[in-house]
Amino acid sequence: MAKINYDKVKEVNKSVAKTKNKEFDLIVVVINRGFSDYIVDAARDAGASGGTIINGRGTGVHENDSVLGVKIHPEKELVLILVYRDKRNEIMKKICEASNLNDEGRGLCFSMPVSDIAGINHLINKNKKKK
Amino acid sequence: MKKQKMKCPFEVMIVIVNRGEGENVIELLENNHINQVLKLQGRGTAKSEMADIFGFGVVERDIIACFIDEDRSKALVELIYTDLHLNVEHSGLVFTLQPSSATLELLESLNIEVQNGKN
Repeated sequence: MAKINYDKVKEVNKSVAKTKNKEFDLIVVVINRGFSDYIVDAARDAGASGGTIINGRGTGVHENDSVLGVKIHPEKELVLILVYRDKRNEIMKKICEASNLNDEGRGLCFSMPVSDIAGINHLINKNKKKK
Repeated sequence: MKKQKMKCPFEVMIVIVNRGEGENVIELLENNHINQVLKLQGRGTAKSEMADIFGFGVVERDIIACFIDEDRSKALVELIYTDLHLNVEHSGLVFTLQPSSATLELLESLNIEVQNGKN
């Protein structure tokens, strides 16, 4: 298995810095289980290429329901969507509209800047073709 | 006096690959002395509607998250990209995120020197 050649790290850093793409953001959506399809569809409609879904469990103030004294933590889904920064607001708006995220207890959505990225050739090529 | 904003000296690396490939990623990270790795199982969403119709619209994925010091992050991103052939469309992707803060223990475990909280 390959290892980093530490002597060449500086050179590699320079080469990656040239291709460093500061124009990507990661949108994270936390939503009740079963709603992720709506999120991904809404994101696609707004220009995203797809997403990755991870299962989770919520512990927020709206998840304190209990049955016979046993607390129930509703199942949640995390949706990770990588998008171009200029499209981020539009996609997040669509996601909020599609799943009523502005209502209490529905879920939440936030974005984070991505430092370095690799493996999205299809997105870059698609964008180049459009231009 | 103007407050100086401190930058976290490490990054969070996330690798999303097809199910089964996650072990290769972990092996590669371990070979590069990154032993604190979190592996999650998730699913990706296929692009084509035809794929949805024929039932392979959902692709099982492995998600690997780890901490890495800033100096090596770019080199490691490139290494994972080439070694796991992520240039092939929809085979996976790797990216890094910049955290805003961390506990002292985490910094120490990453061998990052902390001098009076200035680093």
